[in-house]
Amino acid sequence: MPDGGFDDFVVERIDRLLRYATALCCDRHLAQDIVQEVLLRAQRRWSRIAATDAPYLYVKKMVTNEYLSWRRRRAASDVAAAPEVMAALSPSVGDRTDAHADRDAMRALIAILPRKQRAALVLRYYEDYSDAEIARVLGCAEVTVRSQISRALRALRVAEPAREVVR
Amino acid sequence: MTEDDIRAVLADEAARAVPGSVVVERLRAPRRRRGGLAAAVAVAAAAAVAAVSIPLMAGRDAPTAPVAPAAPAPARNVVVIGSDGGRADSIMLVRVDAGRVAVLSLPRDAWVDIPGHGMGKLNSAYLSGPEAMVAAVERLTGQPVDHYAAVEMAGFQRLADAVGGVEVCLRAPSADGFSGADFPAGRQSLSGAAALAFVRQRHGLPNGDLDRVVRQQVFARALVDKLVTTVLTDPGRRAELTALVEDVVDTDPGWSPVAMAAEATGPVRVATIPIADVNGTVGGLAVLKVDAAQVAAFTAEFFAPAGSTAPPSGPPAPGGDGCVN
Repeated sequence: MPDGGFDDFVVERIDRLLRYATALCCDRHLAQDIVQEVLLRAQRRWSRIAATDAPYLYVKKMVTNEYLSWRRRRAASDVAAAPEVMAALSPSVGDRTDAHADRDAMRALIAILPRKQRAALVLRYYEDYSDAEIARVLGCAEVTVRSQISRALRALRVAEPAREVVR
Repeated sequence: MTEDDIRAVLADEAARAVPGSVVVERLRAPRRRRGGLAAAVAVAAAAAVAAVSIPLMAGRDAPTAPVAPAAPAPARNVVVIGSDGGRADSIMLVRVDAGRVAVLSLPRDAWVDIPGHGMGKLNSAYLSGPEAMVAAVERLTGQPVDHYAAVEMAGFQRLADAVGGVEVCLRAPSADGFSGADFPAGRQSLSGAAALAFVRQRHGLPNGDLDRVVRQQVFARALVDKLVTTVLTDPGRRAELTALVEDVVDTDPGWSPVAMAAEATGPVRVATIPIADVNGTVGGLAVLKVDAAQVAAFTAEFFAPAGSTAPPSGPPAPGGDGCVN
């Protein structure tokens, strides 16, 4: 029964979807809105989604697209530099620099990455996806995935890892 | 910075997600008005952080102070900071007034005015030093601060070891690789690394940092209880602890928190400042919005001398048995 299938899917996957969306949005509230909206839509055509070989990947792709377009619909000023962001971006002074100051700065930098770079970054480093899997979720070519990630790493001032065999 | 930093930052961000149950409920009742849902979430959060004042020490005799003070010490306010690598993870304003101890938690993500620095998360004040944190706490709570005491994680662990076990109670087992937490449900005595993990754990708790704040309050209360009933009544252990505190606790010059801890006579009361919006965001950062005037009024009432006014009202800690998430 398709409806019961959907309920099971939600119960099983909701936390994972919300965490993914929160990492993507840097905003738990926006993430909740996006996941809710996507699941309401998925519920209406669940029989079709359930018939695909990877319903979870399908829904995750919906969440990602919703995030990408949602951000487009909202004013670009949404990522206006808050004092804390600015503080984290400016070089720190004093002797309290450490791993945590680095991570605060990293967080601020991630929050202002272009959305597609951020999505690629989250899929790579939060979901541990391969280039091919990321390409499937983002609906783009693998070469695009690689360039998005490498641009993001440059913005974050992280050295690129030696590339292994491309899947 | 490294790829591991990216992983850590993203994992940290992901852990801020709202609980899945919130969304499930909304999906099952899709016509429910949004406001109702928001209110339900707010109430749940409020219940988690609400003032609790279970008389933990009710039923036991008042401890006999090892050194009877000649005159009652004046009331003092102390900012207590627990930090991790120079970053303030836990901030409390503790008032000791004629033996009554009141612990007020100030969530680190509170979005506040930091004198000389502008608006920022409360914990960011500490990046400019303990004095900046003291100034931010004074501005937020409207209370003058007399002293500060800051302890790093490693120091906290040594203190927890020296105290020799503080009893807490968990509603459910909980584990989290980030903090090294791995606890069974029920009452348990924690020392050393386990005590540290208990007050640090945020991942895997239903209400994240707000649950952690409740844990810290419960721990503080149990710690003071343990100190005044056993550790500080033994002159040898008291001297040992005083020396260790001097070693690992950063305070304003010439002051030690040990004597003040020994003054505690009654149950430790704990509360968290009122949060106006638990889902605030500023420039993509998740913050807790607070109303400084409301916080100051709450603090004044919570710190008021005994008998002058009722303690701030609020639902008791869920469960009523002192057990926490």
